[in-house]
Amino acid sequence: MESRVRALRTERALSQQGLAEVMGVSRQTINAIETGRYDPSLRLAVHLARYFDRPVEEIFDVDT
Amino acid sequence: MWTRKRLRMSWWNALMTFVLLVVAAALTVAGQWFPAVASLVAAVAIAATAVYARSGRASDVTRLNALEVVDERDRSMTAFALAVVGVAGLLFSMATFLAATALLEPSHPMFWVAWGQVLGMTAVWIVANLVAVRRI
Repeated sequence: MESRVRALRTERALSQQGLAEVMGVSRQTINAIETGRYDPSLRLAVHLARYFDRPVEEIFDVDT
Repeated sequence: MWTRKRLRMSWWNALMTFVLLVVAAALTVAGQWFPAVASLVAAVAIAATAVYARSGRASDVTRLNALEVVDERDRSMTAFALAVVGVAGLLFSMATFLAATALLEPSHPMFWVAWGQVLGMTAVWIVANLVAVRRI
């Protein structure tokens, strides 16, 4: 699944490690989400959406 | 959760380290120096690996090998890897069962070990399926 996590993260000048610490996950998990290798759980997706203050469907493209 | 915050390792690695330290102390008291030192080295190695695995610098594989699961993706990968181990265990125990049934007499103790192993693995599989159906 494609996502806008990388774009939103770089907009905030945040490193993968920084976002990982905020979300309570590993840096590799953030990397896997950004590269589309891992689909986050609903809980993590909602947490990311809340953090970036965007609707979930604006961050994650479920049709890809 | 307490062990993760205080010891920076999973409860499993904390337990393994503690047990090995107790074993090392008991062996030292008994005068068994070589196994005591081996247990101490194993305890230090497990603790050091666990702390490094959780440090944030470790790779995914290092974390999984050290049983230091930090998030949902680690849990998913661990479940997959352990499922592969389970399938391999079932196949190996089935091969052992077939070989024992074909080659050994029922009076041989290994004959019943092989039967017990395959029956035990099957029982665990059934219980695991029941638990999975209730949880997921």
